[in-house]
Amino acid sequence: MLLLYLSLVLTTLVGSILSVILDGVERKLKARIQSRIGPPITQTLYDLLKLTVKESKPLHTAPFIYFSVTSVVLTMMLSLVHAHVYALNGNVLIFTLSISLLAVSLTMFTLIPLLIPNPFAYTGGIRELLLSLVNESAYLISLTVTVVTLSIIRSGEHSYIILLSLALSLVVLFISSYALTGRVPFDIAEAEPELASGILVEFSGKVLAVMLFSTLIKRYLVKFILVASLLVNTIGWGVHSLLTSILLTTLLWIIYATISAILGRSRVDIAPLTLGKLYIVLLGLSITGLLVDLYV
Amino acid sequence: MSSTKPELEKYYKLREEYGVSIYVDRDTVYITTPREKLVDIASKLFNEYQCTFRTCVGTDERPINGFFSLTHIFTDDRSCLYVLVKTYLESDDPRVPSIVSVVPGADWCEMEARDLLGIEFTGRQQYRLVLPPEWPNNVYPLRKEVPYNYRPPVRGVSERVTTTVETGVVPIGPYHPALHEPEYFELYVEGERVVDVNYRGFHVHRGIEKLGESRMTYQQVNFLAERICGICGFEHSTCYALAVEKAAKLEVPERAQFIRSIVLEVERLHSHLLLLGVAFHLLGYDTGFMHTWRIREKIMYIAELLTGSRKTYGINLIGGVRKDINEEKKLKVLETIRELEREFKSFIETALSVPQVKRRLTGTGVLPKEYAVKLSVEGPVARASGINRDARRDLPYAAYKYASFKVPVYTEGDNMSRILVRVDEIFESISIIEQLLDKIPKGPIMLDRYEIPEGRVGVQVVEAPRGGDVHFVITGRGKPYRWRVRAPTYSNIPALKVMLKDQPLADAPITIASIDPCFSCTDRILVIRSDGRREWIRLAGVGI
Repeated sequence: MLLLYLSLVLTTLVGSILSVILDGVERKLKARIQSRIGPPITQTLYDLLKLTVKESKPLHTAPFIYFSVTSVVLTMMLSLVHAHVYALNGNVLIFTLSISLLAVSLTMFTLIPLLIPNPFAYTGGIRELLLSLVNESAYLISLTVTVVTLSIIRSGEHSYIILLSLALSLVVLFISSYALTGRVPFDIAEAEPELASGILVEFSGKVLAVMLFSTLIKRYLVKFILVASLLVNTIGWGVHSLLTSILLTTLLWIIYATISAILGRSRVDIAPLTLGKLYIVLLGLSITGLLVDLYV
Repeated sequence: MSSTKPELEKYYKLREEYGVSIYVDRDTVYITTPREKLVDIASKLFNEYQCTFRTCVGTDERPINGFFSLTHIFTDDRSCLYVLVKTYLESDDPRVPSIVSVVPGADWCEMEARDLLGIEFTGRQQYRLVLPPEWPNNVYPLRKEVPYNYRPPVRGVSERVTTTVETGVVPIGPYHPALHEPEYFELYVEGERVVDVNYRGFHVHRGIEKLGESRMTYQQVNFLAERICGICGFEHSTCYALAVEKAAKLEVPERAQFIRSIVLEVERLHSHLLLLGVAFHLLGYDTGFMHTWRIREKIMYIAELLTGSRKTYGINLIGGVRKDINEEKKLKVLETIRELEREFKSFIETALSVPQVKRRLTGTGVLPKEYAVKLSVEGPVARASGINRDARRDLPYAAYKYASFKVPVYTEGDNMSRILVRVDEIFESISIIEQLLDKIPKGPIMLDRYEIPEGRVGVQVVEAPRGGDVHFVITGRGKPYRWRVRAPTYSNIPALKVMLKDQPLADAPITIASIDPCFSCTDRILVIRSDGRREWIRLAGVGI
């Protein structure tokens, strides 16, 4: 039991460090695409470490914000631990707990900027809220539909329509997971040139470091849960599943980084609406296919 | 000199119609009018003759003739003419009717003349524009009795943002990632939609006009003029040199004029590529930003090759230029510029087809033609709103008459049109450089000897990357008696109110950037502390 907990702490630590290093890889990759040399891949780590020794500018609503920011990171870490356990034992309850914790942390993450008395943070917060309303629900629904369809496929008795259903839910899952990572074109809440970093504008020092770290953990977690749920329901659970999940999460991070390098930023009146329409059509068809397979 | 040219007849008719004095010298029509007739004359020129209003210039002529004067500068672009409307004002009653009701674009220059010279404008709302709120009343920096190093005892006051219940306020500036210089836009928003805009500019003043008129020589002012702008400084120094040369009737060697035109186009390429990069950055397309600036490096190389400097070239002098172009340089420039053209062509097609770039540029920040005409906007902003105007073609200077080029005009008036005008101009500039390098004549690059008589007037418009730069010079003894500079952003900023209204907040930065604003060219006040540090608003050592 002690060994299990130790291995979980270790893998969670690896996940945390990996998310910071992968951000450095992303910066390097983007630099290469843009004909630049770019910073070393450890630059994000240096940035975070530097921020921890910088002065934090206090806000009026500081106690609430400090509490919320800490809660976000802790909830995300807990979700990551459970996602690792799920990859190891394939327990659906653990999986449910992991995505529930993810949903709680994402909601808290979205609400933090609304506590900040700054027009840029507030506008960024509203943008994040609008995007989250569309995107988080699509991510969670498509994840559930994917897991259910994969379970049906694994059971052996299924029609071809379920494959179509799976394909559609996977499309939604990948798009929503990409949008959840807050990369362009969906970085409208930060939108540095428009909102002077929006949701992050009032953060400084350690609080900013924690917020940035939570963003990186979010990026890692969203991809890890996606990959783990696919692997557990295809190749099964166990150490090999956990290690493959970490590997594929790294690969997915690099793919997302490449996509973000070739796109521009969307707008708050375009992105949620476009995503919403797309999700409704794709998820509608996917769920209909699933129901048809189950009841017809 | 009188003329019977048909394009001048309508101006001679003004003499009969209004009893004003008309004098024509080469490409300039001088109209001297009593102040009662000023509004009618301005209306006639702007609305009936469809002249372009460029700016107005207040001058303290009391040491010469006991009067203040106000000169409104128009250009008749179809007839290649400058039209100067001058009004003398009593020194004890410097009052003149405002022409804002008939020429809305005169708003700022009138208020600037009020702030800096104490000329009062009747028939309009008057407000302090250029000087900070705490500047003492009755101290007018451009009056001749005020020394250039005058320091008023003032204390800084802060200006606060006001909000209403219905609308939120999003402050953009004075320091903001979208603005690379200190300016302040107050965007009143309902949700994410901008419902109104308040602009507060003029945070920076380098006192250049006063310096040029008081402690610098004619040649030194060339270098001062080049420092008006870090991006289009050569346009300013050329404009100044041409204005002085016009006033002194100097015949500058043709080779020098060719070199000026070539370097002007190099500067345009640099400026447009820089702006395109900034626009892509504001749209979140950083890969586009980086590649545009990578391509721009080639222009920096060409600039260094031709002038010795990557920026702020410093080769202009009254009477010619300081650097020649030899055969080796010519070949290198041609080779590099062809490479640039090839790279830019393949890149820009991709960049403008990125969905978010296309979507966010198209149909946003619209400036309808009627507003563009009314506000006398300049350069790509005007051409993107359907105004077919370019000083290189309409008021030819330097060696542009030897080059064949198209003036790109779009009618949509949106951000995309303003970007496309610049993209087209990049290809035209490349073509102009190739043509001029091919045709460059042999000969000297500088006048051996020249004289600049006192009391002459020279006015010049140079088509800078952002629009027409205007330099107005009255010659003095060894230095300009009056030197007035107007950068194109000065005319384009008022149009932002129209462009930003009813637009999404997210598009405000790209809309502001689409006019390619250069605030330092436009502004008038910069405070330099005795320890050399710059300070905003608080006046503890004014350079005016």
